[in-house]
Order: sequence, then C-alpha cells, then structure tokens
Amino acid sequence: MAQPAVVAQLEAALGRDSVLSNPSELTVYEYDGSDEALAGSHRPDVVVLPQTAQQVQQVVKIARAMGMPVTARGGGTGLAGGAIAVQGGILVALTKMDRILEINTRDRYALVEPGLINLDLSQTTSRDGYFFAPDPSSQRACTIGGNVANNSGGPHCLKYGVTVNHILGLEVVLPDGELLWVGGPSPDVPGVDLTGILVGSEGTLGIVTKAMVRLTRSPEATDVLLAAFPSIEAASSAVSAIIAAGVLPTALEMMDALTITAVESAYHAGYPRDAAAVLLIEIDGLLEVVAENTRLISVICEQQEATEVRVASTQEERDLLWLGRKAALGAMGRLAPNYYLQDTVVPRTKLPVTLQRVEEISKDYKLPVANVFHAGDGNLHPLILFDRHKPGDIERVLHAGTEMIHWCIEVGGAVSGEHGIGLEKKDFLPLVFTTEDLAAMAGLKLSFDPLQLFNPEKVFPSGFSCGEVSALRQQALAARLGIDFV
Amino acid sequence: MTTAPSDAGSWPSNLMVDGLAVSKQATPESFDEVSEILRGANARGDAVIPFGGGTQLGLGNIPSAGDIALNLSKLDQVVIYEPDDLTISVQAGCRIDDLNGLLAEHGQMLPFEVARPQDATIGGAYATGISGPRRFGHGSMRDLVIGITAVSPSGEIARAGGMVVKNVSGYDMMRLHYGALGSMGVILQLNFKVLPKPPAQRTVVVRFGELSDAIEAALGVRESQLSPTAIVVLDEGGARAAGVDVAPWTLLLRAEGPEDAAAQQTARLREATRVGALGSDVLGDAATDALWRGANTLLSAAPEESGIGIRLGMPASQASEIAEQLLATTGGGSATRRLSLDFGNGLLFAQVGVDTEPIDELRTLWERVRTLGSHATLLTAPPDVKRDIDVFGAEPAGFGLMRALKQQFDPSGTLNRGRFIGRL
Amino acid sequence: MTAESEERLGNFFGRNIPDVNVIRSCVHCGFCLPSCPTYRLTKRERSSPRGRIWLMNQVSIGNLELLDPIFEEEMSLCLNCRACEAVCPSGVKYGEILEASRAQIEEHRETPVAEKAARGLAFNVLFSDMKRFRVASHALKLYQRSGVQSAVRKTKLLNVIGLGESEQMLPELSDRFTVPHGETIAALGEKRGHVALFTGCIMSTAYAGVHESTIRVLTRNGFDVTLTADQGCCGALHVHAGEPDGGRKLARANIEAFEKAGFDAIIVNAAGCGAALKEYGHLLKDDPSYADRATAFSSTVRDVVEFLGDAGLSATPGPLNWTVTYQEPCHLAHAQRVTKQPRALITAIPELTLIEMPESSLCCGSAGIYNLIQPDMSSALLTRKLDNALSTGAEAIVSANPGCMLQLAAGLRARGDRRPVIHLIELLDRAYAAAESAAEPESAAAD
Repeated sequence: MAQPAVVAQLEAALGRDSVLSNPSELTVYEYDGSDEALAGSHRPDVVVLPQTAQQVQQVVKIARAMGMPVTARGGGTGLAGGAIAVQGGILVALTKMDRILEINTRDRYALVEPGLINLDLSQTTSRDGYFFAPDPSSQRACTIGGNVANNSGGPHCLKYGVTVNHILGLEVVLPDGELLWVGGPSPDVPGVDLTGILVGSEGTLGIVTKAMVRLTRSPEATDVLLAAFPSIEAASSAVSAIIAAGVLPTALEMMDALTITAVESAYHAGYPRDAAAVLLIEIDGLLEVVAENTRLISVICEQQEATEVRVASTQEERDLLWLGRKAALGAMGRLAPNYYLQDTVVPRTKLPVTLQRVEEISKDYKLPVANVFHAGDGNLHPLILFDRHKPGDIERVLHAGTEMIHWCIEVGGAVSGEHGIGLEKKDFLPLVFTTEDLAAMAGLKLSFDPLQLFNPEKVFPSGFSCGEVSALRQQALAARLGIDFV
Repeated sequence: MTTAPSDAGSWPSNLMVDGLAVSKQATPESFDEVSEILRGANARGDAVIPFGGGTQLGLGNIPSAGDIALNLSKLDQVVIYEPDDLTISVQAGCRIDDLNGLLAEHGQMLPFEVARPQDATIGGAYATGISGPRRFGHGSMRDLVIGITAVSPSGEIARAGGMVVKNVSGYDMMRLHYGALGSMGVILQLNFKVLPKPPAQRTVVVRFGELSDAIEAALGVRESQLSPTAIVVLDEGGARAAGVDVAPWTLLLRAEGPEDAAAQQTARLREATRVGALGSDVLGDAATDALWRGANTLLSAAPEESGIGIRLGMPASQASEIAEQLLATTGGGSATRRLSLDFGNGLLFAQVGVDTEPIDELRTLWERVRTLGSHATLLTAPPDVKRDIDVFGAEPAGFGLMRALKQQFDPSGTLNRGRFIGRL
Repeated sequence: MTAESEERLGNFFGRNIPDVNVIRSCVHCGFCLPSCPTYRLTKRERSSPRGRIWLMNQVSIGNLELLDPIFEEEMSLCLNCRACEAVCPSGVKYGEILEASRAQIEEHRETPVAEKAARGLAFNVLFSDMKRFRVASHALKLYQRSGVQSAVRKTKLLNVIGLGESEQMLPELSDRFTVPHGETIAALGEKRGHVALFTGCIMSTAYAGVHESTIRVLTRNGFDVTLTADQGCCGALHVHAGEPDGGRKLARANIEAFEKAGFDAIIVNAAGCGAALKEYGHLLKDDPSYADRATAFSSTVRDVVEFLGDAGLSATPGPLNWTVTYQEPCHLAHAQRVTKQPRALITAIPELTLIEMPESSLCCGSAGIYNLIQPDMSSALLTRKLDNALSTGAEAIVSANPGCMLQLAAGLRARGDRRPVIHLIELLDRAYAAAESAAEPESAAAD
C-alpha cells in the first residue's frame, strides 16, 4: 500500500478519479499479457491514469521525491512481463491518453498519444490511404506507447521494418522529470539519436507521452499466396529459396501440421489438412511488381515440392487466409489449457535445423509444440502446450523453453526477436552478451536514470546492478544458469 | 599480441582537421591495437580523432585538441557474410564500393549513398550519419544496421545486437553511435541486413522551367501509390553534378524492380509528372548508377576552403517555402550553388561557394539559412567560418542528456574532443 | 455429492458457483479490452473483461470477498454484451462466469427492500406470465395516451420492464400485440420448410409490427410459420441479472411448448432472446430431466436474419432508394456470431446504400435492464453510438434487437432527430412491399 501522503500528492496533481489505491482495484494491475507463472506478477502500490504529459511529469517528480519506482503500462499485452511493477511503486497506466492529435499525410506522419491502440491508428488513416506499418499480433489491443517500448514487430515487418523504423519523434518524460521532444518530421536531427535509443528501451529510460509516427502509403495491389508442403524441410527450403531469389515479400509466415489441424478444426480457414507445413506469403506494391513476384514465388514453391499453391487477390480471399494465421493462438487454447509462446530468432538458413531441434525438445519433454511464425525473418514462435495446474508442467515448460533459447543462440540467434526481455528473458542475456557488453548498456541506463527508478529490474540480468558491474556476479550467474561463455 | 608502435613520436601524420595539424597518426590492424592505443591516449589525456576514408572530415566543430589521428582504414575485413541469410558483418574500415562489389557477386546490395563511395568507409559513413535519397525506398544505415562492436576510450570492447534481422535483446546501442561522430566510442564493426539487388533500375529525368512545377510533380509522385526509391529535385548546379542536361529544375525519380515492372513504372512516372514539364528522359541501368554517383556528390562533407555545405530538415509540406527562401538568400552575384531537394526523405542539401570575401558572406548565409527548415547542419565550411558557431545548429532539446551520455561514455573527452554537438 | 450449502470455491459458495476451469482459461492476453464498451469509456483495467475475470479469480482463490464493493460494482457495470467472447483467442466463456458471479452476489447480498420489491415485480410477476405482461403493457399505452404520463413518468414500473425512465421511448410502442394461439400462416409460392416463431415479451408488445414483418418475409420466402401457443418470455433478463432460477422456469415452459412439433427451426427476431434460447442447454445442464431436451431445443433456434441469410432469399426484394447504417446488436454479433448475414440481406436490396458506422459492434448501452441499473454508463455509450451512427449520414438506422432499437430511438428523440430506427426484417418487408407496388422507390425521408 502506498503511503497516504503519496496518494494525497498524486490526487492533488491528477484528481481523485485518476489515482487508484484501493487494493481491490490495484490487484488488476498485477499482471500483463505474460504468464504469471513464467514471468511473475506484482501489485503496484498505487496506479495513476494521467491524461496529459504534464500530469505524467508531475507523477515522475513526486515519485522521484519519494524515491518510488515508476513503471509505465499501455495495453498490458506484453509477453515478457515488461509492465509489471516488480518493486511496487507507482504504475503509470497510459490508457486514457489515447488521442490522435494530428494526421499529416503530406509529411506522412501522425502525432498520437501513447495509449492509442495500434489498429485504431491504421483504421483511421486508411481512409486517406495510409497505414502504420508495425502490426504485432496483438494490434487490436496493444498501444503505440507499448510498441515504442518494445520495438514491436509483426508479420509485415519483413518488408516494412520494425517499430524503430517508423518512429520519427517522441515526447518523453525523463526520470528527472524533464519533458522533452526528440526527433521530428525530418530525419537526421543533429546530435545523438535519442529517438532511436528510446525505442525498445522497455520503459527503463523514459515514459513516452506523444509519438510522431511514420505513415506508410497503402500499396496499389496485394496478393496472398498459400503454399502447402509435404514436409517442414521443404517449406523451410522454400523460405530460403524465396529470400535468396531476391524477392522480398511483405510477409512470409509458416504454420506446421499441429497448427493447421488446430486452426482447421476451429475456424475452417481452408488450409490443406494433409500438409506438413504451409507458407502464407503476402506480396504488395505496384500492380506489375506484385504480378511478377507472385508468379516468381509460385514457381519457387512448386520447385520446392509444394503440393498446392493458391493465390488470393480479393480482400475477402486474403482475409480468409489470414484468419487462420491470426487466430492460430486461439486455436491453441483449444488444444491445451495453457500455452507458452517462446520468441526466439535465428539466421534464416538455420531454420530447418532449428525446427528439427524444437521437435526433439518437444519429444524429450513430452510437451506438444506447435510452430506458427515469421519465417521470413527467422523469428520463431514455438508454442509449448501445457496445463498450468498439472504438477510438473511449468517446470518442464521452463526447461524446454530454456533449451530452445540455448539452441538458437548456439546457431547464431538471439534471445528475443520481438517480444522483449522484460522480466521473462533477462537472465538469458549473459548467454549472448559479455560483462563489457552489458556494462556499456548499463552506462546508457545510468545516463538517463542514475537513480534507477524507471521500470526497475527489467532488461538487465538479476543481480546485475548497473552501478557495479563485476565479473564475479557474472560468473555466479553463469554458474546458476549452467552455461559457459567467452 | 599488440603490435602498436610503442614509440608514439615515430607515428607519421599528415592529417589536418579544420586547420589543426594532428601530430601523430596510428593505423591499427586489430581491435586489440585500437584498444591499446585508446587506453594509452585516455590515460595520458591525449585527444584522439578517429577516421576512416577521411572523406567527410569537414563535418564537426573545430576540435579543441587533436593529438592522435586514429586511422581505421586497415580494419577493412568482411568478417561474416552469409548471402543466404542476407546478413553481413564488416569492419569499420571497409570501403562502401568494395563492400557493394562483394555483395553484387551474390546479387545483393547495401543501398548506402555517400559523396565518395570508392573512398568512404562503412564506419565513417555510420558515424557521420549522412544519407542519400535512395533511403526513401530501401532505408538508411540506421534502418539496416543489426549489430555493432565499439570500443570505449578506456579500451573495453562491447557488442550489441547480433546477426539476426529482428532482435530486441538488450539496448539498441547501435543508435548511440549513429551520427555521433565517433564521440561516444570508436566503431570497430557493423552488422547489416543486406537487400536483394533489384534486377533492373531506371531513372526518369524530368526537366522543369519553374520550381513550383517541379515541386508539385515531386509531391504528386510521393503521394501516389507509385513507388520510386528516390525522389529528388536538383537546381542547375545539381544537374551539372549529376551529369544530366541542364534545366532550371530537374526532377529525378529512381525506379527499381523486376525488368518489366521497372519499365512499366518508368512509363507511369513519366505520365504522372507531365504537367509543367519541359521534357523528360529515361536512363538505363548503367547510366542510372553514374547519374546518382554524380548527384550524391551533393552529400559531401569533405573539407572546404571557399564554400559551405548545408543539410536542412525539409518536411515535404514546407519544401516550397524553404526552397524559395533559400534561393532568395543565395541568389545573385558570384555565388555558385548546387541544390538537392530530397523529397522522399524530407531533406535539403545545398552547396554554396563564393569568390570574394568568403568568410563573412558564408557565415551570414549560414545564419540566414539555418532556421529555415526543421533542423540544420553545416556539413562543411572553411575553419574560419566555423569558428564561434556550432555546426550542428542551435543546442537541441535533450542536450543535457547528450552531455550525460558523453560524460558516461567518454568522461575524459578523449574522442573527437570538442567536435560533436555543443562542443562535447 | 455434498450438500449444496457446503459447496465452496474460495469465497464463492452455495449454488451457481462459477466454473473454475472457465475462470482459469483466461490467460490475460488483453485482446478483449478494446472490444469492451465499459473499458473503452473508462480505460480502467477493472472495468475490462480481463480485469473482471481476474477479480473473479481473486474471489475464487479467497483473496477477495464475494461482496467486495468493487467486485460487486464491476459485476453490475458489465453489460454482458459478450463482445469480449467474440474476440477471445482462448475461447473463454465469459457470459457464463459473469452470470454465475451475479447469481452468487444476488444470493448472498443484502438487497434493499425497495429494490427487492421492484425486482420481484419485474422478474416474478411481469415476465413470468405473458398475460400479465400484455396487461401491463396495455396499461402503459393507456397511460401514455392519457396525458398523465409526465406526472408519473419516473415510475419504477416503467423502468423495471425495461422500457426506460424516459417517456421518449414510449411512442415507439406498437398499437397491436402479438398473441400466439398456435396458428400457422402458409408459405407463398414453393414451400421450403416449416418454422416456428418465438414471439417473446417485449417484441410481441412493443414491436408487434416486427413480428408481422417477420411472418410476411418468411412466408414470402417459402416458409410456413407457426405461432406456437403456450410460449413465454425467454428468461434472458433473469439470467443476466443473476436470477437464473426464474430463467430456468421459463426455459422449461418454452421447451415444452416447442419440442413436440419438430420444426425445421425456431425463429427469433430479438437477438437477446435468440442468444438466451441458444444457451438453454447450458442453463439446464444440471437438470436431469431437461438437459438433453434443452440442448436439442437450442440446436434448432435461429435468428431470423441468420436463418434467411443462410437459406438465401428465394423472392427478390424491390428497390429502396435509402442510405442506411447497421448497428450490430451485441447478442447477435458477439453471443451468436452472426455478422455476415445481416449485411448480406441489407445489401440484397436494390438501390439501397449501406454505410458502415465506426464501432458498429460496440454496445449501445441498452443491454437488457442495464440502462436502469447503470444509467450514466448507458447514456455515455448511447451518445457514442449515436455519434458514430449519425456520422455516416444514414437516413435510417437498421438493427435487429428490440432493446437496441428502443435505446437508439430514445436517444434520437432526445436529440430531436426524427430518423427512423428499424428492424432489419422490417426493412426487407418494405423492400418486398416496394416490389409488389412496383411504384417509385420509397424514400426514408418521406416517411
């Protein structure tokens, strides 16, 4: 519980309605979209729902004076525990700051508040023929502020790039309470690229109060191809062949047999049930480019033993094919009570061996694993199916997930492709980064937040204090995780 | 294992930076040597000026000291290249043309544009953060970078990112060094996602008599669903640099893609830009390369004795106004002028030269021009023009943070002392 | 089997305990939040489906009291529109655990005497017997025409039967009531099947005209229509308000009324009733002598829009030169997942223009008796809905549920806007009339 004095100060600054301190109200801010058994949960001492940047600024100043941690939260859809107030303190829910302040199609930007829902922006700008390119699967519910914090991706990022490529400028409240504008409508603002640094920093460096986001012109034509394959290997080879052929699809997604079965039973999206894997490939751009690339990709798929290639050119046909992909997670929910969505990334040529390894791990731990992922980026999303209330399941899921990460790093991959580090993955960072690497990152944190009040205990490994970087701690951590590193 | 020359006094130097002669030059051949040199310099309080091809040394405030020129051009290896992964990791000293030569063997490319790609290095281009018009279609270095290795002044080598195209593991340290002029650490190695080289390319060259017609055409294309990879309007001087027929205003549109598609898009682009045009041509593959190499000389930040180079942030909606004011300011007399309005990205590059009394005139010019756009950088100018001004324009919002970063990453001011924004 | 009083799940106890497996099936991904009307307006996590399920979870593990004021408030603030169910990736049966939680609260809380009396009047007297309901509705109509309505317009009776406290709602009342006596109206042209019409309570009084349209449109499309005798209220309002026993009683009566005849379908033209009828299987799952019969009954229930959309129109509608917008009833779009058929039927009418409104599937705030229990939230939602609807410039708002229609019509009147709110089936009926008269296309404005 927050001290009454803090609550009183916050209420004076924001009004009574915007400050929540009743435990029954606070309990619903203990979680985000992550699994509490895997990432953790914690109750904040007080929740505020500011409506202006100045209110956020006041909250930060009060927190700083009281030495209280501050954790920002958007839609609460994050999968790595990034919005959990792990040390309590003040949780800043930005959901009421959800306006679109300006749409400027001539300069191709929109100025929005951080609590705006991702899809609401694209739906609004689509009337003028523009869209906001990052499209995480949670785009119906996640916020632009959350996208900025996590540098979110999505299926269409293969062609359009991730969030950092679409953020032109930010208004942020810094840990010292300063309200600051960085970036702007034109690129290459002189000085340090603070906009780029803030994107993906998971709320540990600043709280975004406005974002100037790039709007992308809607393409003239869009095709969606569905290609079915008799084996995962054949589908993986097709992915490699498409990439190697110099064609860059807008999206290149893969679904394995388990996913197909689940999706077909639940939604009848029309995927061939006998396929071992399907690729969903979207191509957009100029009419003539789309026609040419669709032809080229169809030929490649057929050369790679595709048993069927189907092209959808109307909106309705495209929607039906995408329905299965977008609803895949839901279909999983029908196969098992819980699923753990692992997010790792490997070099694209390592996809076939990695999928084999995932299958082995699935067998070793006797946990079904479904694969539905961004193949074009090498960004895997193995879904480990389990039952949280079955004794031992959580432990096995954790171990299986850990083995997957170890493998991905072994073949040159990374710890997370798009979901973030947060609480869930922080102890894996030493697998890819040395003490020096982490120390440099800690330097960045300290430059912004010397008191370490913003979103504490996120991103950096447990026991890794930004203030004292020691090899001893590193070794202890390595011993605990049972790993060797260079 | 270090082979750095132990006798610093024997290091040759021929490097002049803004009129300042740097007495020593080191040309390390390994990362460890770089560490060693920096550690020593840092301990002694020496100021180090890192450089690659030395093609953009005109950018930056006049250094407040320069003891060692750190030449990174021998660190020019391609460390990892996996064509099928479309990723590459190269040392900072690798030259842009050499890199693209290698990539082209595999039908791939990195679409980075600088004034002298035959000499400029990847590390130098990244540290200066100057980017050409083709970024509109393909992204800049900032968009395509996926990993970095940099060394601190105290010699610690730190990496971030990796060799995968999508990665949110840890802070994005790549951003700290982009356009930071090597003042936050010396860039040793950069990883990029590479792009397939389009099978065909064309450039549509449209000539206009009136600037307003050229701007209307450029904006029309930008707002259409056509997808040129670069949209630029050049003045007469710019057209000369690009090597095309000189007209008062020239619109350049680059079309890339499959053979047929490039041809068809070319036709559509010509059709879309007909209004007010004096005429248009289409250049083929090789001519397109040559044209853009010429046009990209306007991005230069090479040291200048009698002229200045300026980059302005130019939101499309303000292009007309900014261009008119710039013309009014630079018009007439003996001035030579080369202008490039990059409509795709919202930037304006201007090179202005004078014959007489250069200093005052150039300084006045900068003072008038720097407030026109959304931001301004004096890319190059004679040292006398630079004295007492900040070439990065006014102190930006967030300068306190930048100072804190400099304090954190280079507390002794070893790297490029006084050169970066606010003389950090 | 333990005695009922000993059953306990954390702080839930006694009868109607929410199913713990349903509560646990929420993985708090948050996808439901933007679909939730109360969340969209408040932006508070507690007023979201995910927040409410978390609160239920806290009660179920003993961390929160059943009668915690915030829990009670949230269970009441929910519209039970079930928009969240339609978007839930995990298929959480939210409506089910919400209704159980409400029943738990109703069972254990101290209800104020006045409220108890009002609820008793509504649920046990009015809705439980169609004759009484019609008498009350007649009284209303007389009252409405007697000129004394302004003096007593705040009467609880008005509120309780779901017609709202606002007199502006009343002029919508039909002059005729539908009283089913078991009669069958024969199909026109080639016969395609035999269906029964579920007449319900509010539809058969306030919107008897919609029933007439329904019969005309169905028969014109080749279906015999029987108005089964002895049917009553569907019980939805009881179940939603935490009075499942009253709902079960009505359900058993309806099953008995319909099950013998073996119709191709039981047709409903009120989305809220349709959703309830389709859930009789769940409602009576613990009643051994009715469980199977309830499931069989539910499987034959079809909304008229769903039924005609799936069967296809055998008769071609005439042209209507109207511009309309469609407001999705929650219980059609979310609870029954019927979203394509209404649009297909509307656009089957020649010369008619359908302009989709923003947030068409966001609740209008009517939600059964919600507009009485939570008037502020209800009115905020209505304002948002009307702003969205009117932004299309439509000449008429088309819907498919009496609650929504009453709410929208009342809102429009309050704004002094005379645009009609009509049931989709009435729209089709008019189109068929236009086909028949073969006159100039009608205009809504001329109405």
